[in-house]
Amino acid sequence: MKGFTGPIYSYLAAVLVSMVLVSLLLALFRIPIFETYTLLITGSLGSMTKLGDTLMVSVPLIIASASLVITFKAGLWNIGVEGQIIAGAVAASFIARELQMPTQILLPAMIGAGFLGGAFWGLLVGLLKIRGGVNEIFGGLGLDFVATGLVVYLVIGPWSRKGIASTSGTEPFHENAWFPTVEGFRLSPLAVSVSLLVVLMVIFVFNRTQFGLKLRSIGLNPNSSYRFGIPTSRYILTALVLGGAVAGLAGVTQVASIHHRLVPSISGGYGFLGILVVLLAGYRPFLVIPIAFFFSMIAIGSIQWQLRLGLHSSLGGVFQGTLVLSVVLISAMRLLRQRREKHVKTEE
Amino acid sequence: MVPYIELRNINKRFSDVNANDHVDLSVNMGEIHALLGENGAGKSTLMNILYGLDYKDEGEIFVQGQFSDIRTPSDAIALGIGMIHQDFMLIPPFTVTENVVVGLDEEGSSPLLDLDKAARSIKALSEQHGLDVDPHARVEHLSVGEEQRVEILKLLFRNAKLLILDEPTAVLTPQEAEGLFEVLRSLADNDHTIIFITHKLHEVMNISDRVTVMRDGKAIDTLKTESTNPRELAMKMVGREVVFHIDKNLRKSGECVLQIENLHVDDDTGYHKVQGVSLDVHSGEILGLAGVDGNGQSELAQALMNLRPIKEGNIIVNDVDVTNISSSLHRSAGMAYVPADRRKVGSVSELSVALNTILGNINHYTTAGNLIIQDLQVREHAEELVERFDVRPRNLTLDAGKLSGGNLQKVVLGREIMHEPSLLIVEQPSRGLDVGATEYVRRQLLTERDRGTAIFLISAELEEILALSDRIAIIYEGEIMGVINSDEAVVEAIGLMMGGTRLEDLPGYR
Repeated sequence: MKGFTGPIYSYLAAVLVSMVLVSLLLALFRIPIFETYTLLITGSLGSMTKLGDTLMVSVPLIIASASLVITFKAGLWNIGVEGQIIAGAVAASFIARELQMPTQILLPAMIGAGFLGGAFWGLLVGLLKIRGGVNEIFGGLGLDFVATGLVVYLVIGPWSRKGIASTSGTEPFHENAWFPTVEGFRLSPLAVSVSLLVVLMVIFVFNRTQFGLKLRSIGLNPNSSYRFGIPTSRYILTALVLGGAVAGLAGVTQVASIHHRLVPSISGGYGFLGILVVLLAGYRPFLVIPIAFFFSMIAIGSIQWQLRLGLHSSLGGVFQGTLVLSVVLISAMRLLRQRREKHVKTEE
Repeated sequence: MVPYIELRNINKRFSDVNANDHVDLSVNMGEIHALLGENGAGKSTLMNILYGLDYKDEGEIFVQGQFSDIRTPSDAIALGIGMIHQDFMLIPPFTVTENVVVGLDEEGSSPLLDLDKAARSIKALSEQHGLDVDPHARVEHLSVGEEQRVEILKLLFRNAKLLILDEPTAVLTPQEAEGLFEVLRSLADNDHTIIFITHKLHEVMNISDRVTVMRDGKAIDTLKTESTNPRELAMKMVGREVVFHIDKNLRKSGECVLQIENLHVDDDTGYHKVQGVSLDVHSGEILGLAGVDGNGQSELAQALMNLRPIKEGNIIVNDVDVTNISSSLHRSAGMAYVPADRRKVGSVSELSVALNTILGNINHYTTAGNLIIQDLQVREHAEELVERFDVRPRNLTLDAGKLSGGNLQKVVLGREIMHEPSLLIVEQPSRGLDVGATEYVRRQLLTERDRGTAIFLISAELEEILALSDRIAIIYEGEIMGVINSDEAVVEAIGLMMGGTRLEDLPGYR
């Protein structure tokens, strides 16, 4: 299992290729191509407010991707991150609803609760894998559905707004449970700091600690790792719990910094989008930040497509998907060329 | 004196095989103890139990007189026991230092990595023991001999006092093997204890202080090396006087069936593995290809069956060029193949024995435009095969993966032979089989030869090559060093050629 490891220019080339492909699609429907791309840039970076929104969206995506780096490096196909984000969001919402506290205490408590909630959901995936022999793909996917069911139940059941049984979400939290924002922006510096800290932590763990080296070794060769005396099961469990905990933080930022209440679609699909980000980053945590930011630019910028050009917003998703396929294509071409060059060399 | 390691009455069963049958073994501190036996004699199982990879059914382990319940490799490592496996267990993208450090016991040591410091101690350690290794090199760039030295360093770095080496020379050239022996002697002089698994008599005589011979899961005898000789050891190992030539009929070879012309093949990493091999095999003869494992044999076999791209050269079977034909046409060209890995390549473990007997020829047993498999015909065919080749148990619906190695090999070999090929390519036919199955498989090959089939036998067991072949070709680094008639074969000369000397450069060559 390997992500795409390529030099920067191969990413730029992929952006160009996907732009050409999307342009063809636009041309087919006689949509002004240049304007579409300009709107993407101005819509996501054109003003401080828009830049702030783009950063705001990139926070949970960065955190979810960091969570995935942990498990992917350990060789685990963790697709339970969606459920872990939800679990973190639910746990943080519980604290926000139940505790009447000043914001200095409430926010750390919500962060802690989200961390533990995500960790618990990750622990379930891990126990299913280690004790029950359930592959983490199935365990994770199953628990994603369970989490989605749980949050819908809460929103229309015990936590529903007074007199209304609606799936639009719970009552907004008290403002003490909101991440503080800079005047005039929706962006919270606290959320940005959390995401950067998480990435730094992941970099530190994998580069400078015994634990990180062992996880990498399990990811590359579980069989020999066991023979080195590494208790692989325990490490796999720890990786899933830690990954879940980090994903839970993404849930916290979703409820405390973006929605300010619990909504059924609280995970925002970041658990799945994060898989694309991590694959594109080739499991390198520092690359997660620019790639997640670029994906957020597309997400925010494409809102303008709908407003100004009447395009369906899913075109943003088409662009993201084309981008991933282009990277795959270019990295495959690069590998082929390398192999051919190697052959030429051995013949000389 | 208390022995350093004492195994008492170890018993271990795997389904129907008694891999270790009440084995006793005691090894003294500072000695090099050889564990000698044929493939499947139970040597590796015994050592896997000592290293915590398998858990014994019965018996006791004492380390320096202390009763020790070893359940996982971590337990063994904590007791100062280290093992180097037949296939190295290094992680190629890691550096030497990372490979050595990973898995170190955390207790007491800092959770933070200090790779520079580790690299310095690895450098010092490697100089102290004459292991020439650069701590910063990536393992994927190292030679096989260097990888082995990294494995040894890894054990020394963890303060292993007992080193278990499982057939360490199988992948080494004679020079590399001599280098390894020097390292082992120096380690033993420094109070390390070494258990050396092998089936090669000359290695036992060369390196060990004492030797324990195993056969059929039992420890037959433990002897002082200086007071025994290869002949006695061979007899104990096989259970009877060893006859290097099983009776075989005179060769009645006929026209050329397989002709390999100037073949060039690369391995997956682009390494030039087969370099201009030309050979021919005639009907009614067995041509044996001898060589140290990894000198291009597998790539050659795969290229013959078009399982690997051919860069240059031709393969001609019965005057037809089959160089690039699809593998679905091999059967009609008269070719059959018994691959080295019977479990993963030669059979499909999850399918029944019956279906495994028709693999590669399924269209022959179908009807309605190849849509429906004709169960009755399949069963008849499978029953015939199971009967003729004495496959046990006689259960056609059993998953093939549940058969023992010997019986699975009978299914694979029988499937190929029953198609009456004119050319049979066989790779490592008796690897991992017990004595009975080995003898059975070998007799079948001789029967096929007498029937007029051309057989190309690829084996890393020199003894097997000598026992079966009419002519012997020796391969070294992808080139044929020479071809000799087996009745003129001298083991020493073959050994030299396996190490890279050409036939015409041999001392005393006419």
